[in-house]
Amino acid sequence: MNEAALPKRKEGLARSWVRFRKNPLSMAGLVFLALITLAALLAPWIAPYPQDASLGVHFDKALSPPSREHLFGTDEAGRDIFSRLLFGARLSLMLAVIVLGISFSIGVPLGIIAGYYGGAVDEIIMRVTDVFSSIPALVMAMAVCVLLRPSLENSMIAIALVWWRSFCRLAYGETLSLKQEDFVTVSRALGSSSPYIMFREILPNMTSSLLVKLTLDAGYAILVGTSISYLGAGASPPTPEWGIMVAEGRHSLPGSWWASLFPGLAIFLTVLSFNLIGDGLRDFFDVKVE
Amino acid sequence: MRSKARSLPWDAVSFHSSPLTPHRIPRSEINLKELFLRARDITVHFHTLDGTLRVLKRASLDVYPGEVVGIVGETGSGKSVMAKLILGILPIPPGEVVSGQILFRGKDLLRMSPRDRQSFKGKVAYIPQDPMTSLNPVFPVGTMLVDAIVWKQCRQSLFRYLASRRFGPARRRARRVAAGLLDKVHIPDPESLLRRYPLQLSGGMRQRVLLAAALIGKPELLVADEPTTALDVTIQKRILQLIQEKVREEKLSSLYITHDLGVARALCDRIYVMYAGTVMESGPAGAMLENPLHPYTLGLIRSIPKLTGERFDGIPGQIPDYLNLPRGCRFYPRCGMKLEKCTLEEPEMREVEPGRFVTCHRASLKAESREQRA
Amino acid sequence: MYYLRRLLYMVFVVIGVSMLMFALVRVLPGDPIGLALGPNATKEDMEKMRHEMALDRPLHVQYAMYVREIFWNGKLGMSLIEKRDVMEVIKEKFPATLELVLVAMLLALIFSIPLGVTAAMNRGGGWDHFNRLLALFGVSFPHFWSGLMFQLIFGSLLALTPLTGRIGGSSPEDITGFFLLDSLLTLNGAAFKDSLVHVIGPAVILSLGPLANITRLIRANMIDESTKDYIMVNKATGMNELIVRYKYMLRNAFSSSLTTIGFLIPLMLGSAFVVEKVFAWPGMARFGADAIIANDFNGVVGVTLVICLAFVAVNLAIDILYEVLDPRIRVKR
Repeated sequence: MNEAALPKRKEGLARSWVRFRKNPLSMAGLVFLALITLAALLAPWIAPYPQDASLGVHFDKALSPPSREHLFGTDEAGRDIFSRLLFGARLSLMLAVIVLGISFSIGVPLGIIAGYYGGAVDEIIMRVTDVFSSIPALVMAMAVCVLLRPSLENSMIAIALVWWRSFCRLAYGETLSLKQEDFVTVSRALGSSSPYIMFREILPNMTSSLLVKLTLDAGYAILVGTSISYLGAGASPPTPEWGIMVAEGRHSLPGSWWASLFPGLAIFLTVLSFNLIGDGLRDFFDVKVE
Repeated sequence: MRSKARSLPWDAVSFHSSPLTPHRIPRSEINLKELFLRARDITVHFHTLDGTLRVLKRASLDVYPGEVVGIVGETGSGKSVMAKLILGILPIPPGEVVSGQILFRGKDLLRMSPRDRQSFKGKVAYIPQDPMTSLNPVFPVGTMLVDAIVWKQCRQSLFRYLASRRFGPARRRARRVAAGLLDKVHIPDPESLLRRYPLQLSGGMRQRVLLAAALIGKPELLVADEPTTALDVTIQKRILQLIQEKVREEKLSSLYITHDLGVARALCDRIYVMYAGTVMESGPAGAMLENPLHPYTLGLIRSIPKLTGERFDGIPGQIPDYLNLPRGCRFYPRCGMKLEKCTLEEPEMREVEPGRFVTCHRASLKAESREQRA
Repeated sequence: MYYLRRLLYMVFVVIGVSMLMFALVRVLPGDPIGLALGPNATKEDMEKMRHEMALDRPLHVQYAMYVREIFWNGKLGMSLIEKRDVMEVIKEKFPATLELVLVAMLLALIFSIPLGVTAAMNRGGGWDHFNRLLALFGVSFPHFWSGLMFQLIFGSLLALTPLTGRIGGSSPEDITGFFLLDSLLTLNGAAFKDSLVHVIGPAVILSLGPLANITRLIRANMIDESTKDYIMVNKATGMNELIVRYKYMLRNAFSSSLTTIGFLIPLMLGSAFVVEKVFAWPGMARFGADAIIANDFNGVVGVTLVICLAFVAVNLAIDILYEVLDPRIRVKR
């Protein structure tokens, strides 16, 4: 009876990977993301002008168009945009990882606890989540960020403080449906403790939804993060963060279009690849995640 | 001496000669145009993310005017796919008709223009299986009926349909026709029922409404997909009688799909037994059930619980996985009488006796040896 | 009764958000007095300010005063950047934002529904792939970048649309506060064209995200609908394919999507912060963005509260709409 009650997880994962591979869009996303990650990791070594990412300024070369020396041109302080983009990749990916890490760690346990115990615990946790959910992420993150004094690190914390709510809700929903399943009843009959059931039985069965959500949210987190920086509430110059690079480049429009175009393009392509992968995952795990 | 039990070309049509059949059509008078419906060598594939399911393989069936033909099979045998294909409601992007033709009054349904296909849909009526899910819950029951009637009146012109406004004369006429149809299926107070929502009706009432919908546009063929399975036993009989009554009244031919051999025997003139997407055996109802020629049919008959208290004999095994079909006869893994040939080669459908067709190596060989002895 | 419970719930959410805002402003580090007075304030000035801002009273009293200010006096506090009460500012700027969001939503719906339906009916075909790509691209654009690109291409390069602002010439007579509607009502052709050409840019950019979401949603729901038994019955009666799709299938597919679509509106309000800034659209969201940068606490809090209210209102509207669309709920009650 135990075998029948156990979820058929492994078989599903292996088959899903085969199906995922067949989708050209998702594979393209994966490849591109791998490239970006590689670029971010190797930035200090492959950037042609690494000092431009921090304090280097060369006003004599300000706003020169894309050329062989400067692949994507230079900005208003004469810094090589390509190098700055590479370092910016580190910041964006780091933001995604930190934000998701924090919100996942707060939101998922809360959601599972609320779903599992029900009753008053459920009500309290979910009502608090509702309150946090009634304000768009960007708005709330910006508000918190500014109240904390604008900086890149603070913007990450602010976004994480806002992001946990959707993880909570997802975990809650999944827990509600999973706790009806046979394997939970069996486990409880065998005398497992509640925390064991919650985290060793229920949680592993959410991995597909959580994985899809993490992938898609990575993209959105980067969008929110760069928007905050664009508006001036996040990173500050001379940090080579993609958002403020677009803001800085704005001054020189429309003449020096490369200063804003390329950082924005980098954001777009990164977010796109996360979305491509996430979409592929979603189809092949057959999961309904917002 | 030439063996007569070869694969007969379908042009040399034979006829059903069992005394149970109310319609006798002498061979000399058979005309392909007269043959009401002929589906021949239908092969359908279903494309899914996991692979291609070969759900129908060279399935064939005939319907003569005024007949009641039964299609019997387990769930997953392909009988619903066949029915939906004839009705024209099989979803074609995942589904694909690889080969075959369906001749309806001489015209091939599968190769028609979409416009013609639509008009032929009017000649074929459908009674679905589950009345609880067969009516759109957000619309009053009358909406679908009235729309279908108006559409027929507009002779399939979208412009004219849209032009007939909500409360115009065309609609009022259609409402009267709809009420008339509801009356035909013995629904009390039909006018007010048109305004009711499906959730306000019982299962039996809904099935009657569906029967009324089927009668729109004077159909000639009725396809009933297990129309009483989802109903209470007490209502089943009444609905069945109602269907038979209408079939007689409107002079319809019908295709009755069921998994219940007993019902098939009681209602049908001829039966087709399907398994794993192929027709395994076909013939007149009485003769076939008294003397089945295919091992599967035999198994089905044995599986019917008997009042004499004999043990219930199931057929061992399960229906095959359409992604991994066995080589050779699709039934051989569950067949108690298989030959070696069965695991290697797929059998062809043969007429082993007048009016009796089987897709089975053993049966074919038996018939051959009988003829050689003769 | 059902509605009473819903109303109570909404009140609870609004209270919850107001408490959250209050907590954020009072509890988080940051010096409101210093910001209000500047670096050269004397100790007495600071004490006086402290008393004026009621920062010397206990927290729950502060909260009570705060709530009273809002609901009794209709004031949200003084805005640092606008030098007048936030409530006034919001009242003045909200219509602009609402107009933008509504136009964007309209655009999104007009295009996404047919796209979604066609993609669903041609699964695996050209439209389906296009639809999928559009959906993935649409949510990947950073609004500040796509807005910029729009301005570059259509504003600068092609000179088809203006770069910023809501209107070039004089605004139409103020009846509803919506320029487009007002100019139509007063038969002011010039103003209508003017507002249209100004709203197109930001509205298109704002609509890309919802377009992407809605089109995928409609597609998924239509596919679900197509497997339903009653649709098969419908088709079997010989009904025209288009009618089956747009009347019978879309009805259910759309109502299943309603919740998500509704919640896209508050989401758009969030994106509007960036879009309004890029296009210098004189709306509440731009004021909010400016307020955040300028540490205008009252401004920030005021705008956030309004957005929260919008969210709650949308919630209620969706519930009502559900009843209209799905008779099952109506009849059961």
